[in-house]
Amino acid sequence: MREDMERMLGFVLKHYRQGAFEDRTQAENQAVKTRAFPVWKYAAAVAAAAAVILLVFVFRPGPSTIEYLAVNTPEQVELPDGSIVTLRPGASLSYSDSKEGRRVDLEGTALFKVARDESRPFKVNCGESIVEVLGTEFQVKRSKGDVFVDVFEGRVLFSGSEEGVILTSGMESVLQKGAAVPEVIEDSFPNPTAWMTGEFKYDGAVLDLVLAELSDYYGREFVTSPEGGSRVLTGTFFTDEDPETIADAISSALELKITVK
Amino acid sequence: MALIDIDVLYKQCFRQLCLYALHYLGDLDESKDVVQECFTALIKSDSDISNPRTYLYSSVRNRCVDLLRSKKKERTAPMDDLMQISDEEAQRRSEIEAQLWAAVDALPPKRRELLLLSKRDGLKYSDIARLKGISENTVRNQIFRAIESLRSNSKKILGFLFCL
Repeated sequence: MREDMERMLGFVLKHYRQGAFEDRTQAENQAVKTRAFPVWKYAAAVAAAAAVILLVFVFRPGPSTIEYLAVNTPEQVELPDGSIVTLRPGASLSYSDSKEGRRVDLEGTALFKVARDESRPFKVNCGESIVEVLGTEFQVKRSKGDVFVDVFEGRVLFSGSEEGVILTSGMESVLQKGAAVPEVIEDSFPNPTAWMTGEFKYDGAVLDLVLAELSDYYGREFVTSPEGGSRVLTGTFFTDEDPETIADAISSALELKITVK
Repeated sequence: MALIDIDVLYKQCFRQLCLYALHYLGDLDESKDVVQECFTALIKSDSDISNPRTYLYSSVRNRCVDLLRSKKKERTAPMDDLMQISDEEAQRRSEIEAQLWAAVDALPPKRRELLLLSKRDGLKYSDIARLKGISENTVRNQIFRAIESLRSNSKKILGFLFCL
């Protein structure tokens, strides 16, 4: 009896997902899923800017490997296993498939929505790190030798050369260059997928964190007075605006000075 | 044919059927799809179904087995020992699991999070403490309380002696 109950509770906890049985129609669920990838935005942007997009498929002999590359605009691709990957401009990815599992080698930043297949694990190799998928939706970003992982849904195992950490939805972690174990980041950026959604959305975010995110995104330094950093900001900005325009908007909203270097 | 109130049946059985399917498929989304399809089939069916609940359980099972076969997975038996128990026992178990799921839903969010990090994600108490910036004792305490309340909840619901 005791064992039975323990097994049942174990089973429930293993699969538990909050809100999984909330009364949502399938159509609504579908809408939520589709909203995560507003690719049409980019289709329009591409047409307008007549940007060059290049998507390269290279079939190599031996174990089949496919390569994908995004040049000027985010690229959404479907891998042969049905997983959906959105590549940030400048990112490249190669995918290979075998009986043992699915392997991705990544340079740059990409958002993954992994097709379920428990018999063939999905692993992303990036720099010195490996991300092993236990759940479904996450982003891997390589920046100056550091590797960042953001989990939006489900769970992933993020490992360095030694130990790994299990990340669940809403968590961000970084494996710093030369480190053996990833660290969980407490103050993670509010908009890790801004490159895809096209916006920075802040709802009561601390200004220091906002400026750090904008600095990271634009590769410029956003600076304000030391007292100003603890102020709180609510608002939405678009990634295609100039850094200066965004800085001005924040400056006038909070009545303080922000400079972009 | 006796008129079946599908709405009531759905409310009563959807969760437990999903948990039943989950034992076969190991994936909640797929399980929900299968149960949904079985309800649709039940609505469309014009044959005389005397016990819709039993009918649903067996059609969910058949669909799960078909699905596993079509994926060419060798395993067509459930992931765990569900096969070795009788159908009635398996149904009873799914009911209890559905109640436990609801009890987990009802936990205070922070306490639930700690419980899941420990029991679902397999993190050590010391890791959870570091992750959340709280003491290991607090983690142990909160998880103990979570299990305590699941226990008392299921006692209430089932009148069943729950000894963890």
